Amino acid sequence: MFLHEMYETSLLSLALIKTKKRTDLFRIIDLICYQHSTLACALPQFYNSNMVPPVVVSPVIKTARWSFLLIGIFYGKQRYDYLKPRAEEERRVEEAEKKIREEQEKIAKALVEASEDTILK
Amino acid sequence: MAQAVQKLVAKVPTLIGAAATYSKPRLATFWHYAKVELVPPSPAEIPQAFIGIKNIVTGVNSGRLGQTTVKDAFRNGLVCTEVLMWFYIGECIGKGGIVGYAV
Repeated sequence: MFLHEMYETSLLSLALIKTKKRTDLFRIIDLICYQHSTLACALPQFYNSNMVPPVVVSPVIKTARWSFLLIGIFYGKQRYDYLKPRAEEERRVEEAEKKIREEQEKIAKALVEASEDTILK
Repeated sequence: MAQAVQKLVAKVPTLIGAAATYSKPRLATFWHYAKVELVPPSPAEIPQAFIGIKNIVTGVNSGRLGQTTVKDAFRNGLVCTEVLMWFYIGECIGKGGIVGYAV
């Protein structure tokens, strides 16, 4: 299977070297590199379709991605643990203040109602 | 109403079967690409990564990176953005939610 791929790509590359088209040459070199570096060509779906072989990602990008992912998980957990008690405290304080406010409003309303002179009661 | 619900419930196995048939080849292709592209770096590749970063730094200092074409710079910028976005994906995983902290 693999030999067949190599045969095809070498034929193609010879043909393209003859045409002296630089961009096509680069494409063929990439193709050869991909096919040597991955076993993608061994999968049946690559025989009859236009599927691209998977790209070999550079180690810099791989480590950067995964380290950012882990740092992000860590940061998210830390921030959550930091914010959670503060949010609970905030809610508690807000409830106490709301109670006080409502009591005061009730008293104010009662006063206003008592001091109104209207006979519609 | 009850009949409509019954019909829906009877359809669920076929729906699940259809979903499985639809998703299996797509999952297979995704897994095929992910095995090569999304796999974490092996312990041998991490020193290579540091060397790569050093090369980038020397490239910046020597002015070689100023010679990149706009097309290459745009492509590299897109790759950098994608790498940085993984931080936010990690943050979403760590805080257990997509939008905001559920405190």
